Amino acid sequence: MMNLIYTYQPLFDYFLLAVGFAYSQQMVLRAGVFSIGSAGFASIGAYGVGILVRDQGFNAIVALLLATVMGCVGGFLLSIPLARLRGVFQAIATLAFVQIVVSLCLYFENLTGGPQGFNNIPKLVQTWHLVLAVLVTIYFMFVISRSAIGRAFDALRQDETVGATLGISIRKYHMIAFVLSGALAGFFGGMQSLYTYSIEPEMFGFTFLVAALTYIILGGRGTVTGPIIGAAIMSLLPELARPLADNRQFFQGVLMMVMIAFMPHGVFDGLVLYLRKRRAAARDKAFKEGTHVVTGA
Amino acid sequence: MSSLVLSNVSKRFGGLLAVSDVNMEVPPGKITGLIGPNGAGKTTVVNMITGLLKLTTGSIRLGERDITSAEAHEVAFAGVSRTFQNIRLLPEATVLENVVIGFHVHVKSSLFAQLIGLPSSLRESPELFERGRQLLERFGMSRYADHPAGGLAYGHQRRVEMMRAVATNPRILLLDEPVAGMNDVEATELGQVFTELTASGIGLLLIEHNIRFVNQLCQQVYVLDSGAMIAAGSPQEVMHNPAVVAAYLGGKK
Repeated sequence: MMNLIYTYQPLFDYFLLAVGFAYSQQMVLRAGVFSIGSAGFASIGAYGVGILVRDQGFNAIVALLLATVMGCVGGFLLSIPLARLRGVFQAIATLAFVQIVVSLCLYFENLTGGPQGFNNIPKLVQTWHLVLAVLVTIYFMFVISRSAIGRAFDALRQDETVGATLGISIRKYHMIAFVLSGALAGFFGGMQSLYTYSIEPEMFGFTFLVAALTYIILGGRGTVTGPIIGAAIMSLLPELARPLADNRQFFQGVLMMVMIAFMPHGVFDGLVLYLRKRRAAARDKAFKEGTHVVTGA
Repeated sequence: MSSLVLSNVSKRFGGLLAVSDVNMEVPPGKITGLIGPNGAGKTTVVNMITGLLKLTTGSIRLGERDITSAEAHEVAFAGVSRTFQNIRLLPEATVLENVVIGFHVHVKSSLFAQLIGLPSSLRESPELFERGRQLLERFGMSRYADHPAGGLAYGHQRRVEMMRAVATNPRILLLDEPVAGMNDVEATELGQVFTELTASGIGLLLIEHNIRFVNQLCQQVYVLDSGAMIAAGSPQEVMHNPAVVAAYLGGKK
């Protein structure tokens, strides 16, 4: 039994980190912002914490708070030039931002270790820290999704002109989405830094952002549970499909295409929408039968 | 209570003068009509009032306040709400959620309270949903509360959009072809709703094709043709105006 837990503990830890990054990605998508900049914010948080803790002797908690603030500031600054972009143009611009962060981490060798990576980070984060961090994040996501901010995000995602005519400032709420997404990515980037001993620039590049998007496409954009499901599927898939290990990329690609074609809302959001429709239909039927009885009597 | 006043409003799209020198007043507590053939510029006028389009020249005031260059969300906060010609609901959201988003301008809890889940924010959301349910009741739509809005019948979708606009508690409500595609019975029903709304002091601007419907409801009618205001007055006056007859039925220039 203990053996089993030890075998799967790293998998579980990576799942928890994935949930954090998935929430960062979901935050922007939920508000209708097609940003894929989470990888960049995660990189800023990871290197920030690494440098502060290893080289500057900062306390881990203080360093993580600072990483969160760095993510916030990064999100805020990025939202200003991107305010007028939408859809695929936002995606391209934020991809460029991710590439800029990667290359800066490569260039500033004396600060970041460059291509050799940033090594010997003290491992201060244990599984229970990650569990705690994810639980707190879930609380915040839940609270925000139930608040006027969450409703404003949902409205802007579905039709931003309608949102604006109902008093929702597009610029302001897109900025809030960027800031919150940056904060989450910065924080979990810092956690990853204190968990893995060593980080390197390419860890927060294209593969990272594709993974973050995948969690949301699989899980769902609109619910708090969606990203957990998405991250769980992506963490378990390689384990379940060991025999397919050689063709993993291929099967992931196929899975994505099937999902987008047949469950565009993701596993969990799709399920919620389906149940909602069924319940409404059932209630409709009950109502009609009810009136029938009355008129018949 | 205050009127919405447009003075010398024009809009130019490149070389095309879509709206030229329009003057108009929408007083509170009354239904004002804006009619005109297709392409006359009616929806352009509405888009300018609501801040979706910038004016080329002219000014728009709501009471004392100049909203000429206000952005769409500022116009909403000033007290102008609207419906769309091609119904625009939030398709994934339920009917109730669609109505509750209309309360956005009334949200009192601060962003900070909402972010960290202070009681002020946690209490406010259920309250707004309760107010949404009351509004649904008023419009006789309670049984559709949990329906996905996108799946409703056309006439019901129109109602949902109207409830959402009413939820903002506007001073001026702009209705862009609210009875398009409805039969006379449904239109008359909706007409009663409009009369009730004006009784509570809201000023309505009714943009319509259906002249009979406009004649039943409006005290004052403006007629737009090719972007220019060709007539204004009571429905009877306007209907006998040769320019209006020519615009609608064609005539000698």
